[in-house]
Amino acid sequence: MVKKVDTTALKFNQASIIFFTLLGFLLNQPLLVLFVGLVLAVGTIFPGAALFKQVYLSLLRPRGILKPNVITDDPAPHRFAQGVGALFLLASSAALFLLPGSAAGWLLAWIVIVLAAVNLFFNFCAGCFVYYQLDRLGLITNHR
Amino acid sequence: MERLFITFLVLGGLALAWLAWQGVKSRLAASIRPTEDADGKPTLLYFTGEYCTACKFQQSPIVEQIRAGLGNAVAVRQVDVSAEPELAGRYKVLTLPTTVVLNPQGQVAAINYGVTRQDKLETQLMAG
Repeated sequence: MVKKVDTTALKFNQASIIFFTLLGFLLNQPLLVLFVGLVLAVGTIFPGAALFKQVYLSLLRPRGILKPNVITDDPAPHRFAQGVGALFLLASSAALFLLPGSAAGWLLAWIVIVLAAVNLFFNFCAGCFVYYQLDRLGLITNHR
Repeated sequence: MERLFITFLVLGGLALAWLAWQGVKSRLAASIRPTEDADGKPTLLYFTGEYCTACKFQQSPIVEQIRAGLGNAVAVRQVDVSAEPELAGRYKVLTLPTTVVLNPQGQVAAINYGVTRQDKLETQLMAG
């Protein structure tokens, strides 16, 4: 079955992650980090319930504010990346609640911001890079 | 105020890192010796792999459109990195997909890491 992905929805998701997480850092509000982490976690487990995607589908796309760009693609890697982002942000918020203002907590959040920004602005897939390097080292053989 | 400063510091650092990366890519491209079997036309080397979904669904259709649009004006060669790891090493492939544009003399004109747009590739091919 041919699978389709709306890349505009993906980019809106990445932009939202960056915006809210960065806002959380600037305002020193771990709750915002937790909010984004939960949105990503829910979206990973129940793709139809992804909040940022629903905002795009219900508000932005129907009004023509953002235009869809649907391409043939596999949604699985994007969901995987979203799940990893969720883990990082949930770990970040846990660290920030346990140790308020901890550098490690904000570092985890910043990793998500930077990787999302690299993907949003440069279309660079960090997961693809890591996977290729591991394959070069002979650490991944199940695809052969 | 301190957090705003840190934010600008990180963003500035990323911008500098991006600029440095452009320089590294240029030096990488210049360090690769020209191919000996250049046939007098621009060449697109498209490095891909079996496990690369971005290659299969995004870059491959773009490469096919280039092949169809530019026809015999360019040579297009798809390289499976698992089958030809030496070639991948020679052209400094760091991730997949990677596209390398060779000018008609076989020198590296551009290296693109990640999915690259059709218009960008065509511009690089025609610049040669």
